[in-house]
Amino acid sequence: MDTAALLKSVSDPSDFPDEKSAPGLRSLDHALRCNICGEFFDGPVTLPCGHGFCSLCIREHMRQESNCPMCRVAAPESSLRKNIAMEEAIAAWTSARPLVLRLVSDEKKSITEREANPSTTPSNAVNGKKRKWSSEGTFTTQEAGPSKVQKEKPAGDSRKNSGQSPKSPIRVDERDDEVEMVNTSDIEEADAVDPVVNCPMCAKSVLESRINPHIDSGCKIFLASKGQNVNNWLKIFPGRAKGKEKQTDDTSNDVEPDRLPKASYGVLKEKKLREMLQEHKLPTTGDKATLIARHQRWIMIYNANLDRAAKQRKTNNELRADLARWEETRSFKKDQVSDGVAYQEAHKNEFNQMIKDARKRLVKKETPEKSRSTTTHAAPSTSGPSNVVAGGDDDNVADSQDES
Amino acid sequence: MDQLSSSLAPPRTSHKSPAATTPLEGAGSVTKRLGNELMTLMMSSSAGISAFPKSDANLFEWVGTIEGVSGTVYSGLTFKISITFPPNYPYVPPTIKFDTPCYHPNVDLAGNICLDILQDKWSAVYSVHTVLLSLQSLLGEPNNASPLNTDAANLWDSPSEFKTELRKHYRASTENSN
Ligand SMILES: [Zn+2]
Ligand SMILES: [Zn+2]
Ligand SMILES: [Zn+2]
Repeated sequence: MDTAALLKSVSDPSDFPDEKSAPGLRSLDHALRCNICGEFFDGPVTLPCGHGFCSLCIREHMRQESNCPMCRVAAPESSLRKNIAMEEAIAAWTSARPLVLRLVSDEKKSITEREANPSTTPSNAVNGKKRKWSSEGTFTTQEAGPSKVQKEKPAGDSRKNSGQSPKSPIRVDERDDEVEMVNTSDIEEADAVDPVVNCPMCAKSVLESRINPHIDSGCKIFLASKGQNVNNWLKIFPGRAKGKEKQTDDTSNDVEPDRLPKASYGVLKEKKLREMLQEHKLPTTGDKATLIARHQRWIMIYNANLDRAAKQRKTNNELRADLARWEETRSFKKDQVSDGVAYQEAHKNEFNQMIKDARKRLVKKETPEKSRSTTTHAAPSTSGPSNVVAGGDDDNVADSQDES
Repeated sequence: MDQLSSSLAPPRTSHKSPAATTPLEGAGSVTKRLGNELMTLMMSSSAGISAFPKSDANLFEWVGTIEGVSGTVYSGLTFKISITFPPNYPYVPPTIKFDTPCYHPNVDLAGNICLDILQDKWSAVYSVHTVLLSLQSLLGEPNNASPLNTDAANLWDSPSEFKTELRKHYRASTENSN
């Protein structure tokens, strides 16, 4: 990933205008973020001192020190408590965020327009633009009346240069050039013949026929659109949505799953380690240090997942994809390889096996009934802290698809 | 493409959808954290500090600059620094070194820095931004109790002599354009 792509993927409080032009928005966006990872709290937990972090972030910290990274007050891992209210606030905020950003941008723009062209009726300008925004989501100049065409063009440019949320609108445009997406309606039609599967590397939706070139590309191309994720995962894990039916995956049962105990690896033989990994359907390649690191991280990811609200939780397969990404980042650094290709090559067989397994499940399961309200957050996202954001997104998409 | 943006763009427009991100991202991803830090640095208006990845090939190596604060002996001087992030960042501090020779009580001749928050006082909630600000203030307020460069520490109380020595080291580097 290059720097530009990295920056494009970042969501940041500075997406909002400063305190003076939009009091509270930037600090609200900041207050809901973890100080370790900078993302919205993912499975937020609170320490005895009152400070909060993502469950996974603070557990990783506590491998080294049993204290709060903010104030250094002692805090054992056992003192972590989930913060349900915070999680709900974040779910609401991440689904409101796009709209708020749009409103802020509209507001700013109508002010700019009014200043630039006092003769244009402000309300018209705003409404005309809003219609544009909601129908296409990107700012274009055609729909406005002839007299406004000249005026809006420079305004559109200035939004990129001096707009108060300089990053978000631009990113979308640029990203579209880089990532080949598949039209949602195409997928819907093609669904029966070419089902969408979730890439075991990145957990994103990909047409089954494209999964191998997708992985070969470093998970950059042949992404199916996100709206599809919901239905697709329903096919793979049909029971998950309800939380009642039998699961193909072992994450979700009626009973709150137990946390995994930590292991003391010092005395363990490699063979035993491999068995322990196999038990959780994890790859068993690598030296002893790799096996231990993998198992340790798995325990942490698994336990942190339980600090998410049940409907926010990831499936074990999604957690495995997270683990794969985590290992990739580590090997990326270790080998000084510029991308994850080497890692993907090394583990291709195992991941191909995971794909096959996913396909098998796909075939066995009949198309399940849609269950919007309970499934929206079950939709897979890339992972981790952005999980909540993705949930909010899929929510919108699923709604609009079902209603149309 | 057009169709896609018309059906999906409204919810996607205003925040960065995970769909476009690369597989390097993940829970607790270093890459993601570095992206956040870079954004903070670029959006913040802190004077006299900057940092950016050295190249697209390796986001774990950054270069930064620190300008001396006016009113200190370092006023008007700009120092290049290198920042190396460990794979388990931010749970472990980044390695930071002066590339431009910096004559300073807490910096040795190889550019190594003695600063508590870069060692045992590091916290995962610190960032490049906070570290660069600390370094900037360290320039003007050295900790002379535990010097890495004892000559510089001894000379600190004689500003004009210190300045001469500082300029000598600084100039040597800029002339030898390494
Ligand atoms: Zn976090
Ligand atoms: Zn605290
Ligand atoms: Zn309660």
